[in-house]
Amino acid sequence: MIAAITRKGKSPLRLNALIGGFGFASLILFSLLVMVFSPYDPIETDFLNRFSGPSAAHWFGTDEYGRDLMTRIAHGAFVSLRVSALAILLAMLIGAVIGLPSGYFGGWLDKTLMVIVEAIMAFPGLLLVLGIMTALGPNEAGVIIALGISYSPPIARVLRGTVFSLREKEFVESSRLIGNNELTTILRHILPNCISPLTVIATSIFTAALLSETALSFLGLGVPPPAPSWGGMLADSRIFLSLNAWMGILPGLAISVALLSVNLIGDALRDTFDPQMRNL
Amino acid sequence: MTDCILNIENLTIGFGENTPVVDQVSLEIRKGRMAAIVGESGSGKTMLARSVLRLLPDGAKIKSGRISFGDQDLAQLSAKQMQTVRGAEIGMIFQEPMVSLNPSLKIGFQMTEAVRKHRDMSESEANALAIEHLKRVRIPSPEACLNAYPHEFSGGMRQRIMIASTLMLSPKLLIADEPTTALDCLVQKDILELLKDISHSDGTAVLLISHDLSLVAHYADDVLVMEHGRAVEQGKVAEVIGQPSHPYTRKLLSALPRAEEPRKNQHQENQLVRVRNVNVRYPIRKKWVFEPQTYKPVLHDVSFDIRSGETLAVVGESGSGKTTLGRAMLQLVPLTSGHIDIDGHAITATTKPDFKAMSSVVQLIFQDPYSSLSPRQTISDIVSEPLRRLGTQNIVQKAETMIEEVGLGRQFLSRYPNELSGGQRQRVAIARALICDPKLVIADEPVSALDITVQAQILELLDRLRRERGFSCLFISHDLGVVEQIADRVAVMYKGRLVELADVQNLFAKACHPYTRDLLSALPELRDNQEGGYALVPRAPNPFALPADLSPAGPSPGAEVFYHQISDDHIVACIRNHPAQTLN
Repeated sequence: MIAAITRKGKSPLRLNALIGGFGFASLILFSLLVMVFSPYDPIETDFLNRFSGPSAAHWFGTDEYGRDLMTRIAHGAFVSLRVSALAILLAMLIGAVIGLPSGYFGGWLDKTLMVIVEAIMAFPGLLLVLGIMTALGPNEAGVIIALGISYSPPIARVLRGTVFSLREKEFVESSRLIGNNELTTILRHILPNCISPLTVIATSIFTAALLSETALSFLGLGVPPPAPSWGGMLADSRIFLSLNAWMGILPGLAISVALLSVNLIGDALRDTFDPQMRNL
Repeated sequence: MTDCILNIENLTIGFGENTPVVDQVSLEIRKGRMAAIVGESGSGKTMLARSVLRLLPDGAKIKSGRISFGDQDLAQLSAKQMQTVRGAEIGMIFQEPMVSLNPSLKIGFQMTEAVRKHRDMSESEANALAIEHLKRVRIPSPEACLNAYPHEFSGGMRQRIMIASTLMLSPKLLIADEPTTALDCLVQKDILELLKDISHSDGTAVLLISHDLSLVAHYADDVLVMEHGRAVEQGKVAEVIGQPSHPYTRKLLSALPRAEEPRKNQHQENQLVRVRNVNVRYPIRKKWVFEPQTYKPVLHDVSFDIRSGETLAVVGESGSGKTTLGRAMLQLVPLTSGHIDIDGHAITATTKPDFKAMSSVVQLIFQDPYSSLSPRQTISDIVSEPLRRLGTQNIVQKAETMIEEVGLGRQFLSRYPNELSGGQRQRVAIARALICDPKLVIADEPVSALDITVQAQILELLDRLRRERGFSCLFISHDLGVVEQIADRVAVMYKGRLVELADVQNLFAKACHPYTRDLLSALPELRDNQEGGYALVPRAPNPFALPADLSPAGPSPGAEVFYHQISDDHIVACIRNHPAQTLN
């Protein structure tokens, strides 16, 4: 994927893509290595070594229960990335189910579906997520569903717009003329041509979902403790910042690196797939 | 001072270190003359013309050569100095009149913008000047035009307005980049004659860029033929066309569509398609929910037959309903009344479209091969998809045979459309249409998006396949030359009505309806003169007199239209003259 981006882009863009790709890859690599080789468990407590700063035994230090911060950040990375990725997949699914028929058939179906989408969009993002979370309870599936629903409207609208213009293309008409039914036409001729805008919007929403997931954990509504999560670790660190500042700095740094990398990748993807945006 | 307006010397334009797109081209345009650059797409003709205004795309650079305009070298001027030349001394007319005017500004403002910028002129003076020029390009009621918006005018009218606003600064040079390619042939004639008049009366030099040789032969004084960025032949039009010396010029000229030997009607006389009293109307979008629904009629009482194995061409200008007719036969547009019978399958106003059943009866070849093939399917997928849906055996084998039949090799099957040229794509589209062995193929302007040499190949291919496979073809086109080459019979549409239907020899020799005659005389034909050269021959059908009590039907509603049979295979729409009724 990186090769595709770098080949077409101009030099600053290529650099961005490289930095983003490098940041994301090293985050994943770091987490994997730590998860495999770390002697510590992310949940097991060790009261003798509370609030220790970076040392030979605990490279990133420990928290208020003496848990190894490096191990917790690594495990937290996978929790956060898994939750946001699954949430985006769900959002894409919901968005496709609403956006594709809406754009393809138009008329009253389009109007009805768009009213639903606008109703979802009318709620402030986090409020909607909190509302759904209250109904579903604070667990991982609940977070995924809540984020998936609240991020589906932009995907539905982008798909609807793309399908709207694709519908008029002659190859779509030709598919009808050779006797394909609507479902085949949509799946075989329209959906593949939506991949680029879909990828672009999904990457840009991925950062937002990652941030929301962290925010939820911070508020104590995300993946329930003691499971490690970046937002939860940040929240825990607030009281103990004077004892061990690393407790707050390191998870915060992890969040920033993840967001920045994904954003840079997203920009590069957008510029590759949408050449008109490149000069802006 | 000599009367040389623009002198391009050894101009080379290129992108980076690649092969130059314009290579060592020289061209001189004199006062009051029209010079044309002819070539196929990719020949660098547009690049050459744009270099005069220094409107080159990003990355393209003038590498060497001079562009002398008066005593300036345009290749050396700064961007700031170019601004005083553009518009004021060199005007440009673009190909697409529908998008070259800003839709949200009044025409008066857009026209006077340039004079107010380049000349110190008050608004009333500028408006007076605009009105004067609108009169010159024969816009009716020019005063009202100033306060109108572009969407209120047709394409031809907009192109006139563009010409008028370019002329307001009385430029010494006018560059017209395919100014009539997007327009109907009757409008095309008007616009070019207007340009010709202007260049004669004002002494404006005109640089015309075109792909259409017969148009150039008719209007231009000098011509430059370009191939792959190089000037292969240049000189006076009559000499270049009359005695082409370069093989490429000869190739272009021989690719022009021309009438073949009178065809033998080897096809059977049984009718494959019967179209009877077909009416189609489109609903006009309502402004209010309770407003009564109004309709725009598109086809009035169209009736004709298509015989097995023949090619019936439908000609007419845009808005004549020819495309709607094709779409109605494909069930893409519902009929309002009447019925169509294609090989026993009936289509009426109440039939529900059944594309599945009709897919092996009637198929469509689209105009634009760039949007008719799905960009994410391989050629193999595209060609074999109709078979796969029908559950046929030996799909791969059939796709291979089909792709070879349209003149492409098997190696094309694994490629994607973006790896193919326009002509190759159109061959793929033809393969897809024919693989189910349809009885009727509707070809909607299948060659008008292609270069002239490719166009000739595709027409030949279509005709060969039709003879081998015996399908009938409804060939929709605006190009009479193409129609004369490929059709057995021709139907002329005018404002939704079929006004004349005849076999191709009769139509071109004895056209009877005034609209048909206008179409025929709009552009003369380039015909070879035995000595290896070509000359213009006007298409002037002898006026064929109708009986005294009949007159040809126009678009006027109310009158009762019927078809008068002139000969076996020649009918024309007529109305009966009543003594009280005046003709229009």
